[in-house]
Amino acid sequence: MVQWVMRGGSDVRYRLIEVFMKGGVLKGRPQDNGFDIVIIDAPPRLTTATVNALCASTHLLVPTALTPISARAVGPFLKMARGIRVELNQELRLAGVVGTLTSPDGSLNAREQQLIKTIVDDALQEWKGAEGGYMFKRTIPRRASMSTTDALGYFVDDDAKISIRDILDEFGAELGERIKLP
Amino acid sequence: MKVAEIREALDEFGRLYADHGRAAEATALRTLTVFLKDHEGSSVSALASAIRASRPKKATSIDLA
Repeated sequence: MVQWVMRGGSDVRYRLIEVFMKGGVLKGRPQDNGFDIVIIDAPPRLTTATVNALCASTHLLVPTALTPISARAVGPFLKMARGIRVELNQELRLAGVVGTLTSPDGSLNAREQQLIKTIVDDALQEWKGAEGGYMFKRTIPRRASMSTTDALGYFVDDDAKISIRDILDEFGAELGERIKLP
Repeated sequence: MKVAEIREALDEFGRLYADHGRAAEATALRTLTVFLKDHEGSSVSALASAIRASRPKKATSIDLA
């Protein structure tokens, strides 16, 4: 661990972006073989891994269950991430906050709607970037097949009111529009 | 061969891969199957245009959690 922290004199907070910048990972030109998009899943705590992720990212997406305990954690997390933005990565933008584990059809009950109007909206004020805060209209519901099948159940043909595929497509379209994905 | 027949064949391959625990191959085939399902009834040339127009983003994920 100490060896890893001390290695080579480069800043330990930028190890991940160093890998991305080396070439071959990200697609710089259409003919390159790198990735168009890299999604990094990091914990909502200030670990070395989280700092590396925030330093290497262009956009931040914050999923939260729409329960009082989870929603109250969004504000402190955004405040911490804003600090990283100011100090270490001014290119970081907030894609938004997305509600998760909602009812199977993705609709919101009165308590969840109230949570968004109060706790989540307050939390978004913690992000004082030029683009402001954003709460995704599409939420990700609690569906058994999303946790028990490959690819989040994208290929499951269920007979629910709205299919998992439609939910994920809607979310993907909203995210793409939000971050202006080419 | 019709688009629907190709889709059914790929769907069957997807199930076979899934049965053998080869998730990446199964997912790739299911992606293609869903694409073909969306374009069922199209002519082959229209299908070719749609494939060219919908080049998927190449994405990956890193789990730091």
